[in-house]
Amino acid sequence: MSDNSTMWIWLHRLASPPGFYRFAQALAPWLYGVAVPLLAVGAYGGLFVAPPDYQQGDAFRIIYVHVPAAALSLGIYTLMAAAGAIALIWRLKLAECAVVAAAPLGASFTALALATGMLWGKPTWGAYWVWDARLTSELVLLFLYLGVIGLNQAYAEARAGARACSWLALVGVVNVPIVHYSVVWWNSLHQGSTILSLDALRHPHISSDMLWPLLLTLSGFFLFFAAVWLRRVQNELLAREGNARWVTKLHERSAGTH
Amino acid sequence: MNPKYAVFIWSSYALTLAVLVWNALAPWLRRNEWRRRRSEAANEEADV
Repeated sequence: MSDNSTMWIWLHRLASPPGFYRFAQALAPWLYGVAVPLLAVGAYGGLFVAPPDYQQGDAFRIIYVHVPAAALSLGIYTLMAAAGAIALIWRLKLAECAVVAAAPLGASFTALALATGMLWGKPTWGAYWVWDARLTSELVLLFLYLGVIGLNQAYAEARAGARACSWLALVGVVNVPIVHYSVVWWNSLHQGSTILSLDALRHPHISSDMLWPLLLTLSGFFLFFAAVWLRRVQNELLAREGNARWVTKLHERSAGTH
Repeated sequence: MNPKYAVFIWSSYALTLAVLVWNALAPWLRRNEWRRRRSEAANEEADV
């Protein structure tokens, strides 16, 4: 059997609800296990080890939670749009669960990016909020996430709800590049990209003693998201496949161990 | 840390911690609720 066909068999098994459930069950604890130390060390480094910024002083330390939350807010929506496209084209139940499971996570990280941005804005700009292109487009992103959550709850039939959410995720993805490039396209009060741009990757805008905690918290946030998202997809699968044999067996096994 | 900024910095980190803890707990609580309802339904079926 060729490597190619082995890969397809593995992917086919992974796309089946019981196959994905087992995969998530094995992977999620490892992701939590790596994410938590990364977050702890990154936060410690950001709060106590990194030197104060020459212009913003200690206020810049908010970057270590603000940037990862903002990056996740964009990343999660992009993931939802990709899963939404798969759900609409191939009608894959797993992709539908992936869209629905990601929305509350995306909303919480978008709200966190906005809140930490406001807390950074007050000492830096002198105001919690300005109707700047970056802030406004990020707020629109939060409304899109809330729209997906609301739409999912508005449908009595789970698959119809998930398909409607997939459409909204696909249509709303146009806002992702708007958020990202808003600081380039418009004259913005918000500073440019610190690390999440090609230019910043070629010529870093941040010194290495300030950069390493940011890389740790960024990786920690993404791994943490992956762990929670896997758990949420598992829950969606259990809710939708309630009468399937693999769910009954799973429940019998877990009831036997409690 | 400059006390002028401390309240903004600590509030940001406290909010982040709250969001992370809520995100970690929410799926676990939902799973427990699912298990409880499932067990109740199984017990009711057994009684009938």
